Amino acid sequence: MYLVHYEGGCMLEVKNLDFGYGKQKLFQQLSLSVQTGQIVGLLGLNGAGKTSLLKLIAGALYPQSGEIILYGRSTLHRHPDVLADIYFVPEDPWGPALTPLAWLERYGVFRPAMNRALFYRLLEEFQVDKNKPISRMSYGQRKKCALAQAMASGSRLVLLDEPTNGLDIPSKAQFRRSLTMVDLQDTIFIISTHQARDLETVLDPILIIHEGSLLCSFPAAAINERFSVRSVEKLEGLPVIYAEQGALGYQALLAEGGSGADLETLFTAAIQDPEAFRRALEVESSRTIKENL
Amino acid sequence: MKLEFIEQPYSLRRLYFLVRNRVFEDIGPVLIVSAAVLALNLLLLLTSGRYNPGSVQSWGMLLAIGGVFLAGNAFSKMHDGKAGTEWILLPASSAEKYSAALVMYLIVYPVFASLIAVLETLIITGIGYFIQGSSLWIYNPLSPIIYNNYLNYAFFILLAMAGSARFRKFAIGKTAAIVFSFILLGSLLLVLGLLLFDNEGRQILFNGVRGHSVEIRRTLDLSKDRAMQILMQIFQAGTAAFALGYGYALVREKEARDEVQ
Repeated sequence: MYLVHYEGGCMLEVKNLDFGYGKQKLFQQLSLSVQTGQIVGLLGLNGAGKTSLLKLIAGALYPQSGEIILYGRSTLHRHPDVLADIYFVPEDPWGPALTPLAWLERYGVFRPAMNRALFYRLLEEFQVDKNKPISRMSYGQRKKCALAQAMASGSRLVLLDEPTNGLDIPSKAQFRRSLTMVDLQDTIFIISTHQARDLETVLDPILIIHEGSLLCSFPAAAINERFSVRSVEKLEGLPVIYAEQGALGYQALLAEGGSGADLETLFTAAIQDPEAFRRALEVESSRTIKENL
Repeated sequence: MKLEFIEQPYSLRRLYFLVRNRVFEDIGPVLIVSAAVLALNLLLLLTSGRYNPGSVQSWGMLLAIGGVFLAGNAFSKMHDGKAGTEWILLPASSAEKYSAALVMYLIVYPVFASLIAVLETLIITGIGYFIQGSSLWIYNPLSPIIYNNYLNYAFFILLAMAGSARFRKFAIGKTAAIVFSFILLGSLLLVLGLLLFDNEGRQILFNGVRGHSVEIRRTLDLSKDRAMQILMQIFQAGTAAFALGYGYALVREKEARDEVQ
């Protein structure tokens, strides 16, 4: 597996996680680690367990075995200070019959690091009416309100499940812009998404989970350094990882640096042929190490 | 980060916020029911010539039923698909969340509901006094019958809370059905016990009765039996302790609803 090396210790560590629903095993010995200051993209097929993984990390689900350590403390015991350090926004957030301002008074008080000024700014940025009950808001408005709550929470781990799902096109841009309003230095964002194109400019690194384990993990820089997409007539002699046949030839993902590739293509390639994808990352990784030596 | 209370494993400040939030959530239904009770009583007062405002016992019973109903929904949010995850991940310990419900339904609600009852009886009988010249009567929450029955109220509150932590839907009905089943089972065991300690009963139990039924007629008043009273108190205290522990364990172990995305 391609290994991403970063300076400093791991701020979030998932170790040997086993989890399943009844007899259906979802994760077997899943391990991953994330550094502070990262906006991690979590990709996976439907049913791969992205939401479950986010809930496990948040402490809303208990694993059958394994550990989840956030800044040196287990999230599984649900200590109030650890819970205050985590904010999870589900795909379809809860809409209480409270205005965003009333929500702040009722629930924001449990989070001492809540940044009220930032919350108001984010509501303005997202054009969310702060005097309208959240329960009466549209799905997209509710989602933007929940994102504002999460980003202003002061929590050092923010878990977002499909944050751009249901957002209109300007709102997606607003969301990307809003990430710059948060102090990322001390924060980890883990964003699970199927809408990879919406967020590919902000996600770094990318984690792909597949068949119960971490298929691969790579920094965004690796996309341009190690991959390129080309339209070719023939595939012979080319370092092809994945190709789609079209009317005029092939659209091929190649294991060579250059133009890079969009996340959706990379994801599809990784899922279609995990071994080839991993090999491409490893070859390039070892090549980089040799060049550095 | 202001860490003065967030680092404490059990914080009175968080408990206060949790209780306060419960008050905000429950005040609506309480006020609606109170208004309905007031309106009904005023209607009866103004339309009936012989209006009776009731007794401390009847008002106390009404308040207790209200409290048990509220406690029976104490953890309904925890079971909700959307609100549940938010509830579980709210930065407060399970002990704080559970004890906030205890404070709410054992202290705050009885006090608040009693004050409303005092106010309503004052309004109702006050109007009756001025219009019809009837006597003034005010509900007295400090009557011996109220505080003598407070432990019984607390017992049912603990049962209702445990039921609410256990069942996602129709928690009150399911809890009532379980309590009723236990009472039925207890009664059957009691009858069996009585038969075993009775000569005629043992005859029936061990030799059988063929062809005809047998009636045993005895005066039985267990409420005056000291041993029975102690047994009942032990049973009640044990059941209350079990309900408390069981309900807390369910809240502590609660997970977000299953879903695979």
